[in-house]
Amino acid sequence: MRKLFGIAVVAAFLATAGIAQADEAPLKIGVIMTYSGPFATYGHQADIGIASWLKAHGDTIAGRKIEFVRKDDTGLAPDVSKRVTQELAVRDKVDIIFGGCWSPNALASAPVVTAARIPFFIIVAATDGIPQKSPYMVRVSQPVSVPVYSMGKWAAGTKGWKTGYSAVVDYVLGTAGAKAFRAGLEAGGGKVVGEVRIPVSNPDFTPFVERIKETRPQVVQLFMPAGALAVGFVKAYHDIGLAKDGINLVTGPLSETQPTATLGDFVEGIYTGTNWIDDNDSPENQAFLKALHETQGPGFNPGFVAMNIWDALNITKAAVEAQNGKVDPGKTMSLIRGHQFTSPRGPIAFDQNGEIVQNVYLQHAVKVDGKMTMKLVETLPMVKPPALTQ
Amino acid sequence: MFSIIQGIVQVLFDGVAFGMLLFVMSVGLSITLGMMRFANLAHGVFAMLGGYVTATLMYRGGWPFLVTLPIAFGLVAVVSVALERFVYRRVYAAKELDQVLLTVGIIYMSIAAAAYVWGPEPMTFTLPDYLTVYRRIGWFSFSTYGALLLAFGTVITLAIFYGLERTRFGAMIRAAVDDRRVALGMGINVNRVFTITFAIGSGLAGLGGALGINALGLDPSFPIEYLVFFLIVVSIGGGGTVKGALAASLLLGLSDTAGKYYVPQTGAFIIYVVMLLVMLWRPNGLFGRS
Amino acid sequence: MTAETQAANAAAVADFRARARWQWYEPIFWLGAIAWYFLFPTYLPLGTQVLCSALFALSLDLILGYGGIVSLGHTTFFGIGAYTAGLLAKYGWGEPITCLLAGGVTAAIAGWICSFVIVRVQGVALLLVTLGINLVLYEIANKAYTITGGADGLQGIVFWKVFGVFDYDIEGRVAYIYTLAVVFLLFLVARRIVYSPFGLALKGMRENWKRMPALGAALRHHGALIFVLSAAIAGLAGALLAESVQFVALDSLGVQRSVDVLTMLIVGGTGVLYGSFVGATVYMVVRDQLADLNPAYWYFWIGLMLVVVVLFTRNGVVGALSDAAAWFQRRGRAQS
Repeated sequence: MRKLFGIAVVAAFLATAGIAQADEAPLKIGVIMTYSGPFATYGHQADIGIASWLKAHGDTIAGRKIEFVRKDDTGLAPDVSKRVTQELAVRDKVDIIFGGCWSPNALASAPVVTAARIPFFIIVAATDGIPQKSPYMVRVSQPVSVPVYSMGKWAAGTKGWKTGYSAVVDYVLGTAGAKAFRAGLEAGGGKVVGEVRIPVSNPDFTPFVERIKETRPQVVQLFMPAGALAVGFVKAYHDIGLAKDGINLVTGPLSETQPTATLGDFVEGIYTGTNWIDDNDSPENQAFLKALHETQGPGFNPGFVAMNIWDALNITKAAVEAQNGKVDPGKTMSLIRGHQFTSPRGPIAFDQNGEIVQNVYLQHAVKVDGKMTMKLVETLPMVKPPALTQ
Repeated sequence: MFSIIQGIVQVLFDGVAFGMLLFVMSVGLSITLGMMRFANLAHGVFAMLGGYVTATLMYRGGWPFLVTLPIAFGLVAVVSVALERFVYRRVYAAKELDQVLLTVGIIYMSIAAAAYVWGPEPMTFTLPDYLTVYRRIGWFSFSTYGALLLAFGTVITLAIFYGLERTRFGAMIRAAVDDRRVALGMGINVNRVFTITFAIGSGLAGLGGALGINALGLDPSFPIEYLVFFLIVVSIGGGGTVKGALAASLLLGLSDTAGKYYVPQTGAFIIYVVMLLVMLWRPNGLFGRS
Repeated sequence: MTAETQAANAAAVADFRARARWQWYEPIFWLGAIAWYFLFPTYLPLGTQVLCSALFALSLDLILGYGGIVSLGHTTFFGIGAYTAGLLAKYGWGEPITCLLAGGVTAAIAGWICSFVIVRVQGVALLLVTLGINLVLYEIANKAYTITGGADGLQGIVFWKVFGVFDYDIEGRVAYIYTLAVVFLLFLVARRIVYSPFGLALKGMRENWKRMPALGAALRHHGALIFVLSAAIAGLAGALLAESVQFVALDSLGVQRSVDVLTMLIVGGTGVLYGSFVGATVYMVVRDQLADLNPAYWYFWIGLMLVVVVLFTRNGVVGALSDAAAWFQRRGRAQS
């Protein structure tokens, strides 16, 4: 019936698509990502991660051929996300789902995966506390609070910068980022003396940076999506000379496609806190980069979604092989929750709620022999999400 | 006190620069609406295309930024003429609603096409170094990019006004906007005048999109993201008046920048409320004729 | 009453009856909706969302197709309905039918408040005013984080069993039947409105804004009334979707949804009641199938569909179908 339905509708349209071959009991993985609209880059990156993983590991797990069923959640749309999760469960009968491109989408899918008992990997969503909404969820992405809270605590506690200023993007995650930083700074004995919300589209950072310069905090937290925005802010920070006034800057990664050190001399002096040093030489990371460069070309810079998918597939492989090719939902979760794995970012573990525990790497941009390098200052090992009051 | 003045100067500088950019991008839409009573919601597609032309030439071809600008203008103008000839011309007489739907359809198609050609990611774009410097004159600091926007906006605005007020072709445009039928009766080939005007207006949108690439960002959903801005400019200004579009652009640029600077927590709330109030007070816009 | 006026009245009544008579295709349509349940048991969540969208499109048709009011922000009322039902369920009252009605009532109140403004503007200004109200409300919902959950959406919603018996199941059976029943009842209401003298006055208003007052019709009053009715139905559609999804997010107030519903209605056809159903079905099924085949670029085909519908049909799919039917009839007559 499904076929009839499909043919009837689609006959009118010419579209190209791979038709899945009917193999003997393939391992079906549903992938719910944003494949269309403004944020289609997430879906694109997920596909890159999948292609790279297949290149490196082959397309079977425990003798079962992997079959991906891709679904478009069309962006921030929980109703669509919930529906396609239902469809993956009821119609496609998938064994495992990778999804959760947006926090509301993941939250809307949670009751479905609970009812259908399907292991669900949260690939992108960052709002704190999502995995505990379902016993079948596990997060491979990074909760907002983890790096930000640790950076705040480290800045006030270890470095002794007691006055902080938050420059966060004007978006709900920005609110969470500012809150986590405040909590971290206060935990280290410091205090937030100012906060500014920077709109997503902004032609000029001068007014914001000027205001910070006047306030003279010891440390500025920059919390923005990686890309032109974050880069622009750091440029203004450098050119207006905040570093000279003794105002330090801590931030996440500045660019998703370029290592921070290669951005230019203007990054000198900033501190970054990340869950992944993208050029580290652990064997896991090198294997990931090799597969990525084999499928995407040698100059390709890795993105975090591709890596999260890579991790999700590795963990899937481990769990399915441990069950000799079967996917029992409860068993699978017990093989993941409370266990540790290795990832290109280093060791990662999952607590009993399915929340990820991972390292936070603090790096300092310094010039070594005239060349900008990111020097690892400190590795905060296996950081759990802090318990923040809502 | 000192910092208050500093803040005001800062807001004026950034707001006017942003307003100029909006004006360059949306003046074509205003003329289209005035002359043909055609609500082209897909106007942002032209701006997006201009941005992509510049980004591609710079990124893949290594061309200098300033050289790509006239090419963005020209290429977008040519594309827009084709679109006007083969598609838009058929719906001038149609209902407003059909025009809305047709242009929304074109937006959807262009979003998918742009994602296909340039990828769905926001375009990575590095301005030349001389444009990413922050300069400080006394206590006043500004970015060279902002200064460039301001300079270009001023020159283009002056050129538009000169063209409209002082040239024969400008007089023909004004006549066609004022009363299409009379202009026809006077022997003006309104369709031809319109095609050329449409091409210039679309080209300007392309130029604006190219210039504004650093301020506005560039990804396939650009035409939807900035649709509201274009609509606000033409509706507050009133369709068909260049002065109105300029005033509305500056008002929007200033109120948006001031809002972000002084009350960032309100977000886009302020400009929407301003738009609503203007629409209720003067449904035909500040400078529109009923 | 003289014999002539009596006769005239009788003729008018007969005329209304004739207009309101059920056409042959109407039962087929609703039987089709029931057949969907049996034919496509794995497509019930999609079917449920098609029904909600169709109801929403129907509410827009009441003001657009019948009242001539073009709105770019109709999801204002859809979202209000969804949030009302969602908030009630979040704070402990999850009885589906009362939540549904509450969604309709609050949306109607919001519609009543807006109607004072709406009836005073026309044309492009009307588009912008409706859009503006929508945008302002979206920003409010976005900022009122503690109440609405902001961009994270309203969490912790639990709706009780329908009639205290039928629990929402994962295949979406209960949601589909419940939604279909509600949509059918509301369709009957809309049908009643459209074929009443009030509906006729609305049509007149759409056709000729200037002449209707001369016939004694109170334009603004009619416009406001249909706007409130339409808002109520939009709110019910929103609440219905919230109940079947068990989640309410900011996108239920998003401009994209307003544009989507407008698209569905135009694709289906305006002012013909079934246009909204045909449009919602075509739009959502095609989108779903395209998104499965070609997740990244389905927007292109949707856009093309819109352009084709505007350029080559008189009134959407329903218009094209009735044109085709008329053409075949003429041909049949010419041959016989």
